[in-house]
Amino acid sequence: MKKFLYNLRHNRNLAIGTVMVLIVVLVAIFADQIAPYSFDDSYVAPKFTKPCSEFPFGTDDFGRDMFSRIVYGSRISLRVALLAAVIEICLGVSIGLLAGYYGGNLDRLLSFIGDLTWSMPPIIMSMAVITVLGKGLTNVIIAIAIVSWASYARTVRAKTQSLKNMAFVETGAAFNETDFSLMVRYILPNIVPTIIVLASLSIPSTIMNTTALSFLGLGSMPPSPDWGLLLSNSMSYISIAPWLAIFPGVALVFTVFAFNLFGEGLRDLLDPRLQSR
Amino acid sequence: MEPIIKIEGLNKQFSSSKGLFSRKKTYVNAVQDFSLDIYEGEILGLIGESGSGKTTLARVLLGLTRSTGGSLKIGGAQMVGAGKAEIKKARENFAVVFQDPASNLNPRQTVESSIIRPLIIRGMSKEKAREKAKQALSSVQLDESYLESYPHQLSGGQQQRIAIARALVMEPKVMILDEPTSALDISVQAQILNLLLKLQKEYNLTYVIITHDLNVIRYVSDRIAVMYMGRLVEYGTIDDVLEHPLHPYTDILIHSVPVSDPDNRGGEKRKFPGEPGDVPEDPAACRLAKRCPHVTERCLKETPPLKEVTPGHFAECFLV
Amino acid sequence: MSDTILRVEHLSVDYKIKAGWLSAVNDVSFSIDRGKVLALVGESGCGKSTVAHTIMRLSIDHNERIGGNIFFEDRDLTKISEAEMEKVRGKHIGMIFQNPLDSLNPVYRSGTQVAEALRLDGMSKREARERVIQLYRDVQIPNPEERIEAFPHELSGGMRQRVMIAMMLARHPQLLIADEPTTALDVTVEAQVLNIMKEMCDKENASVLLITHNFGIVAEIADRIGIMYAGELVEEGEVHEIFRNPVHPYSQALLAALPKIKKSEGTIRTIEGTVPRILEKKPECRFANRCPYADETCRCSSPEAKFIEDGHMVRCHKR
Repeated sequence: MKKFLYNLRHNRNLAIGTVMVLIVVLVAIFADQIAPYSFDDSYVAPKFTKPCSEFPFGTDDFGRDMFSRIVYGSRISLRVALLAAVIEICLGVSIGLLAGYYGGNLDRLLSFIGDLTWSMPPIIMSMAVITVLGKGLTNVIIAIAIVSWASYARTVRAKTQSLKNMAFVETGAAFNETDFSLMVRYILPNIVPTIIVLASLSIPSTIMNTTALSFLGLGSMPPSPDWGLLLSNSMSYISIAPWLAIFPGVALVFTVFAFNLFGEGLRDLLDPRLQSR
Repeated sequence: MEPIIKIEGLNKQFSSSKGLFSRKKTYVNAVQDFSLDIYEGEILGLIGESGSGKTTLARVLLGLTRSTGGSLKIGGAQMVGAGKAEIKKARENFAVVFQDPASNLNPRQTVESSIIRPLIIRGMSKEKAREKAKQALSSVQLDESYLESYPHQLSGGQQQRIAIARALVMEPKVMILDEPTSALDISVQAQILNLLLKLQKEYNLTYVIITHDLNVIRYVSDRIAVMYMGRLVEYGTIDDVLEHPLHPYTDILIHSVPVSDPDNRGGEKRKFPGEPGDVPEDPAACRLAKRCPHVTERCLKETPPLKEVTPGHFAECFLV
Repeated sequence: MSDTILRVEHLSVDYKIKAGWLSAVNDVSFSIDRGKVLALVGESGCGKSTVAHTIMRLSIDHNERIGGNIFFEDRDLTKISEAEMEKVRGKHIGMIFQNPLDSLNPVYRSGTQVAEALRLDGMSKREARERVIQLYRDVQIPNPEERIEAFPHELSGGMRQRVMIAMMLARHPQLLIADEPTTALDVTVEAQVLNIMKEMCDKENASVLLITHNFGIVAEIADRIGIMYAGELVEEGEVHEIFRNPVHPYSQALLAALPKIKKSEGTIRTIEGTVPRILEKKPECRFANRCPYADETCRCSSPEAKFIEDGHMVRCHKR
């Protein structure tokens, strides 16, 4: 923690990233207090009201306050990103550990499945998954997780392979630690920093992917204030009400950029190769 | 006296297939036809250069890798082909300390949890294990304050002491020490070597010390086994082997190690051709044939048998 | 003085670290005569490698402070420009590191890299090739015609180190700096490589600054030996003299800690405590906290380097 605070002062990426991520997180948590209206309060003003002091982001085709909708939308983006990350990590880390630790045919099989998911464009792959599971936000999350666990598995597998030959793991095996214990007590804790970095770096793409799926109408359903849905809705009115497209887009870019910066900063902090001095 | 470890004709072969789709496999004999008895209370030095198979042998002893043939009896129990439970039981005779002090300990565990972990696995209560850990620390001459530290806060010598303490709490009969001091500075090496000797006397331990450093072996061991390219080429007492080496490789080794005495330079005596990897194509040939100054026709065709030349002094060479 | 190839005077190096200035080398003076081998020995962190790197001006990050002078054939290396230093490196002073794989470019054939060094001196391609084969033969690489085509990873550690020696000696440097040249090698190979290095340097009449922690190697090939402790040169002299009659308490303890006996013949000595990291230069002997003879004087004033007899320097209050 001390190191984190020290780095905040000396690592500009981390500092700016942390502040930006905090803004997004705080907006999501205090959405009820920040947003003047609920996300589905219609006709709080005439429809297509231009951005003004009362409605800074304008209103949409149902006269709903865009500012409130974007603020509530941040909740969805964050929840989706975190849930997907958790599922990805659970899947990817356990598969990576098993493949790296046992090696042999199990490794070959798991790596093959991993490579298969890698070789397909994520959006197309997740659309295929949704076709099977059906539409809806939960299924989008599951689809994204199924598509992107492989990047965790790959890294964890490589790390596990090098760690399992370290003296302390062999010593553990020599005093009869079980395989499970060797994986969880000895190897896993030494991979955690890497996982954290990976997670913070992959959250942006997770957000982008879920937004894209909602944009295509496969994720959230109206009247949900999902940013992807806001964007797709705005397409019909882009000439008469461009603010409907601009503000959700800016919110999305801000969030993605925030997590990117934060992730890069974390990598500088946690990656031992860059940290030798 | 019954040996605590009895190794007879042990083999360990590694196979690797070339490329993803190739079915052709290549084999490497890491340990070949290895026979040796290890007795309780002795310090056996196992010396060899890279590729000699000394570390593989240690891993076979510890049950970390399975042998591919021969016989290995630990405390009378046959290990080759044994089940998991038997191997786990045999492992309770052993403790191991590896070379690199930094990687010997889990960087994410405190010293205390590193030391008590083997005891917890054996079902000891935490309080009792902690008591034991404190005792072990004092036998390696460190005080209790180190229990809370993490490995990266310690020096190489301290890390190696902790690793030894962890080995001690297991109350092993045999300690396997794989290059225990080669990553340490001279003055620290001296501390660790003297500590190991003291502990061996105190607890009547059996040591198998694996190293490439002849000076270390000479200082600590009772008997010495010389390995070359997976084969045991000579073994006997320190005096026998180092004063009257029988095998040409032992001779090469002894003369290659620089003596810390400028009045006694090796000079011409130190000229030997080849490298440890230079072995004859024919797997039946003596492994040293390409480098040996006394090579004969016969050496290129068959492997010499291990012969007891004087009581307790064995060598694997046609010349003896 | 024309017989001296390298003269280091009052060299000190401090590194900027978070907590302040770390004194890596302090007031080190020595000289090497033409054709002689000086070995700098000491435990890790004693500054021996820093001395070598500072002479070659090889520092990765420029956060150090260097004091003193380094005279190479009457030229002060601390005063010349980077461009001039570039010429000195390789042409006049060669360097061999512990891990030759790091010093050889993995994507070029080993022979090409040696030829490259020769071509810098204006040799034609064909001449260079011939010369490389000759050099490979000199460093006893078998089948030199084939081996010049090999990539570094196809060569064993011993072979790589020979290639490095060939590459360094190709340009006839007057001084060779060898930083732990054989530490990564097997003992039988180490003996070969050391012999080759020594022979080649004798032939070229090149001097060697050997950095090592292995007293065996020192005893085998060095003419003079300097023992370093915590950044200071504590004793320096003729190799037989130092081994027979070490004067500094640290040298004595270090030589007594070498395992060269059997346990039946006695116990080797140990040095209690650890090497200090010097963050603040204080007037004290840096060995005082571990020295059995230390007293008040040692704790409040730094000992000066003094010559107890011709060519035998020691830095100790008690001598």
